[in-house]
Amino acid sequence: MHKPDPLDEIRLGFFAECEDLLERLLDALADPCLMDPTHDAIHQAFRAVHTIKGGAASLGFDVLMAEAHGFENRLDQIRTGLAMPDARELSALLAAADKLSAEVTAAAENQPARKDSAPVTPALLTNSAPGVWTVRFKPSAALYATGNEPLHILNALTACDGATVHCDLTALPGLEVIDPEAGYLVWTVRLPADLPEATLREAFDFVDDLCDLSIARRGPGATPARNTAAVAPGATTMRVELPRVDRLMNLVGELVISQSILASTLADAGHDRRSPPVLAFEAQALLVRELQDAVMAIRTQPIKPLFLRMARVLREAAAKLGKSARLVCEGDTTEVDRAIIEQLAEPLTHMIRNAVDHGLEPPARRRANGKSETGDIQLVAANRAGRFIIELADDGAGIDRPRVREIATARGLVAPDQILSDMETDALLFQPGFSTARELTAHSGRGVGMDVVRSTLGRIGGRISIASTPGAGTRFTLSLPLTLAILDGLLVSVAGQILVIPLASALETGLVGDAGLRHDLSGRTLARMQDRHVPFVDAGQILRLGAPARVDRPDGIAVLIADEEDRRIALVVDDILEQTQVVIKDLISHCGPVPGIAAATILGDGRVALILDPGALVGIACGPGRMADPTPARPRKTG
Amino acid sequence: MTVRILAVDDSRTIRDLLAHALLGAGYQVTLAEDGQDALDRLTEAAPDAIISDINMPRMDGFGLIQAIRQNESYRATPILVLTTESAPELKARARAAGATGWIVKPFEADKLVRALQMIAG
Amino acid sequence: MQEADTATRLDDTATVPNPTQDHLCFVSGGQDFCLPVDCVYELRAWTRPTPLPLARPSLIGVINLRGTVLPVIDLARELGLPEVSTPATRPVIMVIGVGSRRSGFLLDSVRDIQPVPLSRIEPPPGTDPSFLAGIALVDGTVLRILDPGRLMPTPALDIP
Repeated sequence: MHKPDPLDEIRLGFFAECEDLLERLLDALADPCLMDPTHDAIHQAFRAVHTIKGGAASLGFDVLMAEAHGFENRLDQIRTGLAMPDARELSALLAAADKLSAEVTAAAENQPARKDSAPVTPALLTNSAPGVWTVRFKPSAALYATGNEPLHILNALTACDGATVHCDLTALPGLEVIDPEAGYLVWTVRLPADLPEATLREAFDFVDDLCDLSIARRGPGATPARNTAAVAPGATTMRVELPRVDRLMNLVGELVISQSILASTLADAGHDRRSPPVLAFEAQALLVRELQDAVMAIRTQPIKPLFLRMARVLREAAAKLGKSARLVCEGDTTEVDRAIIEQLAEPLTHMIRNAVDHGLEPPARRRANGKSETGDIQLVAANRAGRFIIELADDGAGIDRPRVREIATARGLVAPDQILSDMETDALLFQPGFSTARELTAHSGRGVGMDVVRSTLGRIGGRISIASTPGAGTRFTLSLPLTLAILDGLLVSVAGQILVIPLASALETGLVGDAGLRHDLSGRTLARMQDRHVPFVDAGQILRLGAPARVDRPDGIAVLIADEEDRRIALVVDDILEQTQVVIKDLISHCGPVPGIAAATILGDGRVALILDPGALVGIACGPGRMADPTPARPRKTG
Repeated sequence: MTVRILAVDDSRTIRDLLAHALLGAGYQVTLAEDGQDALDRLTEAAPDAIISDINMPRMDGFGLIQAIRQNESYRATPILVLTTESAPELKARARAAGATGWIVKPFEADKLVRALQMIAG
Repeated sequence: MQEADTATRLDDTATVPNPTQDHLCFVSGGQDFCLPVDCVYELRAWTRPTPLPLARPSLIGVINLRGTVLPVIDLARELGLPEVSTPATRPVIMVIGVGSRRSGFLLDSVRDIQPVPLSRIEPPPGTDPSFLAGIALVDGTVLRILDPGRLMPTPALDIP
């Protein structure tokens, strides 16, 4: 039986560490004071690359190590003040960081990196002089006593070309009085200045307190090397494998379900609300609630690393397509469940490439239109109405509606004489198989269309809308749940079935009889809730649960729900049962999307209850808004 | 001439990893499972350098170093200790006990070999 | 009929004279079908599922399978079989899995497990519906073998 390679676990740990280090590197490179060695940014960048190099070397990832080594040298020159970087330097550093990241990925996937890109091993900056390291090393008696041997240290140190060693024997006493284990000798070693200081210091790792040691660099414009103490940056954190966090999350979810079973049992047993079992139960419920919040906090992460990754996607796309673009981010500290962040990566990547490819005009055309040559792509994250909202906007040419129309007609998606509003034209982009330009599809991502983006989002309960102004730009708005795990819900009964309405979307409840019903000109029933007239919709009817409409029954209950654009309806249900937390169980990946239903949960009695999607319900009741329904719009025939 | 190493650790996995790394680098290796076992094998191993864990039953790393340093033939033999943290106190203690250098666990084969090169050639 | 030896049926086609694969035989819409046993995870007595009314008609609803929400599909409807006059008295839910996906199927009843010689399995005739993986002639009966992959609900858009 083949024994597992013990290095595999070390390798896995290394790649996880590389993720962190690359993030720190990008953070540092984004610092405005990067080029100033008195600030920490350049040192942080250096340390990150240095650590990656060390790990790569130990584990035999030679290509990665070479890449990191070259990059490290460049950073080292800047941080020791040996070279003054010019305006192009930052883009060169960013390109090197991107290349390094690609090499890490390649090493992780065990494949050679793309051969088409030339390795970014930077030549020495042109204004750096050769210079020389001077190392002065005087061992003490203690150094010999601990079994150290200067010969080995000097061998390690001088293994590179251009090294010279000189030994000062002047302190050596005569043979009759000499103590062979005392330190009399002083060595002076000269080495080429392009070696990083860290390499030199490494040779003295075990003996730096057992000898007199000085390391200095001489050369024009050089500053004497500081004693770089390795300061580990940042807070105390701990690395935890994701499956463990998921397991914790599942267990907490089961605990919540088990709690509701207990609640039903207590209720059925008829205990008084102030009896010991009920009080004890409520005390426990508070604890479970806190536990759940704490575990959710572990799973939520700021969206920043994803945004940093998107910045890189943007740079690559712009470079490849000869466009000039920059990413402006807002709200990158917004936190959301990691599971959602993971699902966002692919759709956002595709959309950013699209924005650069189709949204932004070439620099010459932008100049001709009085715009700045560099296009702005805005990426904003925010929490709104209990949802996680991401906006991606470009200041490009906007959607070319006539061309979209043309392609849709050619593909048979609309009839030639069909009349479409601007909004409906824009929505055509979400049709399956729709791509505006086959020639450019190869870059935008293997012919992947916006329909795949929408269905990917739909699978996790997300929605997307599009708004565009010709000549000014296009904006996409994504709306996602805050978490895929737990929800505060309102349990209601409709036609004998229990449904869950997300509490964040339930604005108000009231008796049908109090709702001031009116009828509008088309015969729709309206209700007055929160000072607005909203359509009155019977839940049983809209979900086809088989019960007759109870819109006019005064004892029905109306729940005012809204979607992200604040379009509202009053949803009529038979009864409101309780307000409780429910564990979200995935439905869509098993059954496919079901209109109006976001997910499912398991009640205390073991039955499955459906969790409604208020936004989708509003859409079904009022017609498609700007938030396109996950169900594809069937082309409507005119006449 | 091949450099001979005596590697001491009570964990079978660590011993395996050490052997794997050292043999791969061309060293000759003798393994021992704690301080006492190491002393028993000292003559047979005739090491040019010793690598030892600190926490071991029967006799731990510090005890071993002390015993080695009292042995006339091996007084100046380089000794590397394996530590699980790089805490300064631990290094100081290892140094005070007479260790030549240290390697942090989990160790990387290349680092181990480089460290050995710096103390044993 | 040879007893199928589970250890030998997997790989030893070279050495075992007549390798067989166990199939679960059942009735749906009054007709007989079977499935390879290794894709069948369990058989459950009928429990009323929570309905998903706006989904496609053959998707009856969902049930709670030990904490996972499992879709239940009316197999007869899914296969497009004509309606039977006498509905099943004790329907069974058969849980099958393909890869990591699980789905439940409503059956009229389960018959038994039969070893089917691999050599007897032929591709389905062109006229037959696409949900068959093959047919086999065993003891004078034609067994229709379903393809579990084609039965599973696809996660892609699925609107009637």
